[in-house]
Amino acid sequence: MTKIKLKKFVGNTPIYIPLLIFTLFCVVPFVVVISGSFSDNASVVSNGVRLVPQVFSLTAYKVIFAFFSKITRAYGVAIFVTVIGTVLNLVIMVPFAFAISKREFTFGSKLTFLIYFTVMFSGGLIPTYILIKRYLGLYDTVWVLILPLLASPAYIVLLRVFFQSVPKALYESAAIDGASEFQQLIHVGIPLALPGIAAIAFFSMLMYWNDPYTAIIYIEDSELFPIQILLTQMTQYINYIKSNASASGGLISSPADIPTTTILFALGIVASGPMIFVFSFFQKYFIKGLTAGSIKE
Amino acid sequence: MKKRTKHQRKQDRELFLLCLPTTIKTLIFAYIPMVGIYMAFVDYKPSRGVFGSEFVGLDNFRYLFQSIDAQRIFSNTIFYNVLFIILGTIVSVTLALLLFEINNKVALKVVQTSFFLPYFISWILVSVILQSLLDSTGLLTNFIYSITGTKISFYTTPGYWRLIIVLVYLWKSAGVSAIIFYATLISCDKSIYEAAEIDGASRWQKMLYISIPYLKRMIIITGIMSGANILRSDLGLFFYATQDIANLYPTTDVIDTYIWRILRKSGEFKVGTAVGLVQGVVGLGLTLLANKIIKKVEPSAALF
Amino acid sequence: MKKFCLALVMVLSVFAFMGCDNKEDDVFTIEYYYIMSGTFVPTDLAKVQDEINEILIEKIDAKVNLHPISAWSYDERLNIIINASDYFDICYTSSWTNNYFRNVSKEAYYDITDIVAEYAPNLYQAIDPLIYDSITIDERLYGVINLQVLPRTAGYTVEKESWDAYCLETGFSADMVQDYTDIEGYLAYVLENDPDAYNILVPFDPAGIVIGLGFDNIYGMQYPGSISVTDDPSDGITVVNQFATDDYRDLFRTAVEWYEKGYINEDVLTEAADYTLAYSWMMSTWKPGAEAEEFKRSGNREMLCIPFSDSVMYNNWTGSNINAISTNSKNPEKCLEFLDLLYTDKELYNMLVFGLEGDHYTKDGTRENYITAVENTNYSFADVGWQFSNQFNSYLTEYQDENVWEDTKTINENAEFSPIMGFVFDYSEVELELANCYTVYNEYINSLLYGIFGTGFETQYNKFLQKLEIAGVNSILEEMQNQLDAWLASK
Repeated sequence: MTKIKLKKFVGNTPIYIPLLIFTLFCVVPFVVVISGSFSDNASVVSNGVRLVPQVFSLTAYKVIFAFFSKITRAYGVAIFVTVIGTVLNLVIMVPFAFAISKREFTFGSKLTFLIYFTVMFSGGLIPTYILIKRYLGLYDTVWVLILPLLASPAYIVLLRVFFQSVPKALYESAAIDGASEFQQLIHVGIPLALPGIAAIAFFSMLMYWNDPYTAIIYIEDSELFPIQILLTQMTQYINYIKSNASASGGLISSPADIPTTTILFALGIVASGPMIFVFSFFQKYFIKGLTAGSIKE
Repeated sequence: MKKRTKHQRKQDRELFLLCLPTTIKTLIFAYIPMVGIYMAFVDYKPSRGVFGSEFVGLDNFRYLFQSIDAQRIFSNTIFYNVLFIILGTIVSVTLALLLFEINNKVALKVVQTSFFLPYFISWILVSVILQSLLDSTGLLTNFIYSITGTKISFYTTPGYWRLIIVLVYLWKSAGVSAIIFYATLISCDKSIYEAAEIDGASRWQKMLYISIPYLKRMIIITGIMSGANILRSDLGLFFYATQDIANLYPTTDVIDTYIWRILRKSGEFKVGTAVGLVQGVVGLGLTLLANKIIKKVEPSAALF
Repeated sequence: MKKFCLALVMVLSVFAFMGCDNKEDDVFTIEYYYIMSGTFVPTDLAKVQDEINEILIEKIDAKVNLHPISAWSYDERLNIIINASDYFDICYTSSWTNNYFRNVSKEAYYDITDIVAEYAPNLYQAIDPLIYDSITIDERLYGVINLQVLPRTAGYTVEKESWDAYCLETGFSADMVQDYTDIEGYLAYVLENDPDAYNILVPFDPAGIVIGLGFDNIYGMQYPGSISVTDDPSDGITVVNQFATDDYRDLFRTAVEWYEKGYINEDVLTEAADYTLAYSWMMSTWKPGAEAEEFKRSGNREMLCIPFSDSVMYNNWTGSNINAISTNSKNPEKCLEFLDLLYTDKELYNMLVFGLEGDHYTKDGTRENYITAVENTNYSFADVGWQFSNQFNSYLTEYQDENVWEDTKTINENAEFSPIMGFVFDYSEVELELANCYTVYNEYINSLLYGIFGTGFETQYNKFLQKLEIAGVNSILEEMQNQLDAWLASK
């Protein structure tokens, strides 16, 4: 290596070492989850999970695939909810955040307080349940999985910070050119706040995808269960057939084989797999330099 | 209200329209049910409804304040939340700054993806992994035994769990929070960095004098927002990851886990509502206080 | 601002109309919520429900809408339904799920005192009035009790093969087990012959030890305050903190010993008990035919069930298997008729539990009353038949002895009654103390039952008792004693 390269390498170590440590910190447990999902249940119960399966086994996945039609259905519901939910979420949050980011907006801080107040105070489960079921008629519909979660105040405030970093001069020059507030949003605000919007969009998708509560409370029709709920049910199912071997329908040969623990790992992979792919799609917005810079127009 | 020009009124109207959908959603889904908070003050009987039930003043609050574990759950809750805010911010900002220094696209993608991975591991899975590390046949237990000869029983010693919980918390959320700070950094104007480079600034000087000030607003806002939840805790971490093992309560029992157990046993929503009210009032107080202070120091970073 | 308010009102009024009722059915439909054993609603539920409704329309001019809910979510769902005052007609309720007494105090259940004898005569008369007293509050009744095995008997389930080998070698036998400590020889034997055994003994069951030691709880098993079933009212009955008694202290100490000896799994705190690998466990409800259920729970191994305590009708447990009707029910009389029909109509009962002949089960040609379930059946509530008014109606499946219902009836008839049978405790004055005692119980009970305190046992046990005192156990005991004395005097 040349002297310069060596210097650069050494210079970079304070950057790379901590990052490497933290990256391993994050990745290793995930590898353990993958390993656990391909493990034999008995070894996991007695010795715990390891980086590599001690005894390789596909039982956990076999059980999951026995429910293939239920799973595809649940995936479908979850994807619909996540996509529609996130799009809707952005449509109503982004303009709001843009508006309150403008200091001249007379109602800005009052509206911010209005939505942020709901973070601290809530009627609780029962009043919300009564509203949603009895007055809005959303019980047992797919919309109950989407609507109540919209417009999270925390996301809105974060979006506001991103919009605040857009130089005021750019809005003013657009206004001089005759742009309405809406047009300012579209042509100036959004392009410049794009990394932030992308981040919030991704968080929004995570929120919908990982939501474990809404369906349990508001959905009775099993056709409408999203993937997280179905996976919880499958875990319970596995525990049930442990004490009732006949109910498994010959799926598993011996009681010792029932993957009560490894199923959790396999389900973890099944549940999170798609989101990892989705994230790769969003990553292009997080590459530095891609979006900033196109301001000077 | 100060007098508004015609132009101002037009602008306000347009901006308000942009705010309408969110406002309506919030009013319907959050404010209408909010009247139910009154349940905290009554002996709630479902058939009589919230407003038809008998008023009992502060009776429902006794279950929290006169709980035999009241001191413990309050101190644990506040202790952890304060620690989380401080440590969480330091770690996330550091990670974001480090990430900002990476130019290699591949490395960037790999590291970013890894930051999110812990988020995908559900809390129940976390509890299983912790078990693999910490129970009597656990990896860590065996490792410590082979080095020091003592067999530590993690699940019966509350002391270790202060550290374990903080580590697990950072592991789960630091990476995800770092992305927010990172997105802030990359939205900035590059020319300042270039100018500093020309002036001969080192990497560390750039970080200290440009990047960190640039993140100031985001750090303050996220700090204030954490204040709203000062008495709340993540059940996933404190209940599921610890497997609700009673021996560990001295260091793992927080307000939310305590109330959660009571609710599960008795189904008394009036108690849960009362506790939620207390958490909200304290959160509001803290938020308003922090907001007032920040307004004097750094107005653009104030919440409202 | 004004325009905004107008818009808001318009939007809200649209939503106001969405909650309107659909047109009513001609025939009254009973919404029935109960527990199912598996996690997924049976695919043939609608089919079986239609057949059931044909019978119902003919016999009582009503229909039923079945809402089976998995055991894992039942508590949660019913909690919401009851607290949000959602509509339902009948729900299953007891002391261990969807708490009956709590819901009565919440005015969630219909007062059937005046109509039960008329509309559910058979069901109502099947249970001794003294047992009904135990769920009668302020002279009003809010639910009907299901008929099944009524007294409680503690026992042990042991793995048959090793037990037989042990008895052969030592001359021991099942009737020599009179007390919870008497199986120690067997445990040692198992350990000797199978040193790597996972769980030789599953840790003591909290309900099992209460019954095994003969305490009848006044408020619930997680709370201090009980009497001994051997107490005689004529001598006066004293309410004690059972956790502070020598009986309990000795039992906890035994747990410590057995944990040290290795009978209990070392990782018992974090690892759920594996009944398919364990050799023995305590049971709180021994009954004739228990072997058939334990066979399934043990992962299809042959087990032997050995009772060791007397069969007693406990005040705390016996009446605790109830179907209640909602205060909002539009036709409570019809609901009672339905429950009564389940009691009397064997065909209806079995249709609800097992499904349709041919589709879900086949009748055994040679033995009367026996059936075999179809493989991969799309319908079965076989595990939960005790919810449906009269378990003695049930067909028998393999592994059940043909006399099982007769034997159970004999036990029902011959069991002793607890001296406080029929006493209902009014807990309203000591609610906070009870909640605090529950917190303390919850914090210590697992460690005490598992015996993991080791040498620190005395310290921890005393801490437990001290904490109970701080939580107000003495006020609770005093209140219970006063109410009990008053009740005894009035009889």
